[in-house]
Amino acid sequence: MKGYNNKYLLINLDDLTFEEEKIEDQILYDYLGGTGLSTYLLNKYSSKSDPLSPSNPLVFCSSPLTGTRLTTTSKYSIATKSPLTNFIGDSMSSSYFADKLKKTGFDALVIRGKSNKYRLIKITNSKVEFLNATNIWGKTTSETESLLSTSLGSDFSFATIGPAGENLVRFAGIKNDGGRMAARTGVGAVMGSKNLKAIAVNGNQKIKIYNPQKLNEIRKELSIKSLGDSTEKYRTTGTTINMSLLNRLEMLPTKNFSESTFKESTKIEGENLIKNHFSKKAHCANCTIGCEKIFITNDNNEPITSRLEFQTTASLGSNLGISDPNWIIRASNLCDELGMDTISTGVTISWAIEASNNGHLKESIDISTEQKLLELIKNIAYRNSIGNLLAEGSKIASETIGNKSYLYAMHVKGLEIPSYDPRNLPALALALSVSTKGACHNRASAYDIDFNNKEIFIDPQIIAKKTKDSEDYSAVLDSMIWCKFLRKSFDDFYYESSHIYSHLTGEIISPGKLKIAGERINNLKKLFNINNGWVRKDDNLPERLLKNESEKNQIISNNFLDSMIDNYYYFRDWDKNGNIPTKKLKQLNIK
Amino acid sequence: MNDLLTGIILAGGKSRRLGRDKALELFNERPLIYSVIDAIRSSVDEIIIIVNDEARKKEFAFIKNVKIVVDKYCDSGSLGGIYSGLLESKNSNAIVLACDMPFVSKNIINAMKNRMGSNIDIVIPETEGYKHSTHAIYNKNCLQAIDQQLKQNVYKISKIFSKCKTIIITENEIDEVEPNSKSFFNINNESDLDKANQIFSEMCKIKIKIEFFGTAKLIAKQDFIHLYTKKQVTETELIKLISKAKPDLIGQIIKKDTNELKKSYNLGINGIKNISDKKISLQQNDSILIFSSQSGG
Repeated sequence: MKGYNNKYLLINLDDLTFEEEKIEDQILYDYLGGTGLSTYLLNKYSSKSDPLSPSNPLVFCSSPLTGTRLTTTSKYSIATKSPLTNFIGDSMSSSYFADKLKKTGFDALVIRGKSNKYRLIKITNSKVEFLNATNIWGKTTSETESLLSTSLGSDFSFATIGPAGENLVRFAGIKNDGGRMAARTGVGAVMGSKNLKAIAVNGNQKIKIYNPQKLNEIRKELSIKSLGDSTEKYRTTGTTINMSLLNRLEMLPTKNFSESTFKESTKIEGENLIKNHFSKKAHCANCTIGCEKIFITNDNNEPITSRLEFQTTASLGSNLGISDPNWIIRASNLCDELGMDTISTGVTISWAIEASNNGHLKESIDISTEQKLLELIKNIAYRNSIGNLLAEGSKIASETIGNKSYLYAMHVKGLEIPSYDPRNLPALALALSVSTKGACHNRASAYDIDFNNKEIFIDPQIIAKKTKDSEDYSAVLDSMIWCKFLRKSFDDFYYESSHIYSHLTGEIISPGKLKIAGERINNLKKLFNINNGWVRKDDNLPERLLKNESEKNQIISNNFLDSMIDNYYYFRDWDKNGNIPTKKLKQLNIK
Repeated sequence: MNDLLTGIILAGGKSRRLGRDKALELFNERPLIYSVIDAIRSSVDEIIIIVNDEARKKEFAFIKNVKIVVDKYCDSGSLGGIYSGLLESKNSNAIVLACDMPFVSKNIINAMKNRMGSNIDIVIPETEGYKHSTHAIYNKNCLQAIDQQLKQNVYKISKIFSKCKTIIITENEIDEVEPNSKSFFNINNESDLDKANQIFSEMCKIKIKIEFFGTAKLIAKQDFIHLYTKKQVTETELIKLISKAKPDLIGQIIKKDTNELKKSYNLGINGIKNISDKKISLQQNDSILIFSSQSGG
């Protein structure tokens, strides 16, 4: 099929061999690419093994749109069994690595096994080499990219882990192109468990397009649309301004979700960061929006820059009770260099603080100075002293020390909760509970349901239906792959996407079939989880977020959440326990 | 004096100049007569509405907790209405008001009520040399004088003042109770109605807070501002007010030529509950939040 390479690379790190495998058209048509195709390949090679064992596949996948230069499409997806959740781990990243990977002639890489030496996989046009990575093992992500760029050439793009991935920190990410990271669900730890430090790609093969002229026209139209009102925030301020509104609405996770407003939020809100810390804007490859905002410290110490998103400013800021932007910029930069997810880092540290304050953890967690905070982050990445426990993530760490420390572990299925307080955002609360990857705000973008309607829905049926639809829509976005920040630029997302897909591949896909593809992808993710031991009680929220009698002004209670989940299963055609009936699998052509 | 007071509302008029039934004309979204009823409800223990025939009595049947009485002296103007009202009144004293007075003041009524004494028949306010006979308190003692006058076909109310014990509330006294009062304002024609609407919107101004987020906050260079507005507004009217106060928002947040927010911004009352272009009801100290419509991040 045009638009694809129609093959993937199956790599075995045990013996440093590789094979080219064909992908049938039907599979591409059914799973599109990105998160859909990577889930398919993960499922195909999954062995139900421990996530950090050699047999756990690590899948990198581009998409049909990758490499077409359509705005925001230089993206790739990673799928593996997550060491944080023991369920599906999927994460996404973007920029040149995605395009150069696809242009090597492969739509995906499936990496299995474990090398007995530290390795680097170098892939050029259909050529694969396994290089020794001893000299870069232990280096930070930017050091690694810089060294590799010098030795292999600046034409290459790199996906690399930092010390956190090497040390199997369960929330380590995979970094590429300087500023981007597939951060969530511990994909970096899986890469580290294979002794794989980095992947270098430099493909320049042409991507075959069915109707290049038409696609060119669409590319121009879409670029213009992408600069409209529906992307204003991302283009101008970036996402850090979310904090002021969420704080005003009492929805800003503060001090490990024990509070919903942060007294000192004005110091770290985006509006203040822009006034006093803004350094420059940055773009991913082929992106007209340019949401990335780089911020710089302004104290007397050596200046450090970091790309900040709202999630980072909240997880490492209000969630830890930290109100100095300089601390957050340095902590964020350090997490990037060490290759760690800032959300899980922040929420695991806040768990430890509360567990310690309540006598469940012997060690005291001191982040009263910037130096102590940075030291703790380093200790996590290198698994030093208490860092060794925190490197497990809040779920496993709380299970390890036992007692009632689980009460303070703010995660779903093991993945730490991002910074939207779900207590009064019912669609988000449902989406976080049922998401196959755990507490992820992006796999359904359900906060959009809560925020962009005339009022917050409180009917469990309506919420369940809308959340299910939004989850399927997000699966299509993440499989085509479009950037989430482009989503509101479409007048009719399914119609326009199906139109573009047909002009790109030469295969007609109707808007309805595209929608079903989204449903199929989410069902396959769920099937992966069921095969790995998922049970209904895994779809839940921490007790702390569920209403008790004294909280009159809170929507989310145990019963309300249960009712939403029941309705969600109903709209998914799953049984009451959340399992997928065989009939449904057949209907979706899931084998 | 006896504290108990009856309210008599004269609704028998033909509304010739307005061309529509004044009592039922919508004012502040409700029939105008309700403005009078609401104003006196707490000062009286009985309300009588005087209409000129049985058909009109039926038309007014929707008004709850009032007594509707057909004028015994039809076509005798207000004086006939006052007579019929007093006759039906269970109390000795009654405040008589026209149905077309949108701004009747409780304070002035209470001040008038306080002036009523056992030896007084009429308490009537006077402004600019004009005695407001349909904004006055009458005692049943007036019945005889009125009846005599009606029988002689003399309909001028002022003629009875000399025959009864009358107290005049002066302009100065009124000003002390309520400066610039609009209590005596009544509606005769279309232009009075326009004026009433204008006065109403000015009288109903409430203080609200406009809170800015994101780019709006950066442009406004302020977290919030306070504005005064009427209680019932449309989104367009609200945006117009905001752009007057913060013209820098025009272009990036507010559309240049229309009073609308750009698609990139949402407007919520006291939270993220978005408002539509329908009329919205605001309360004193409400907050209007202006925030990005893109919630991602």
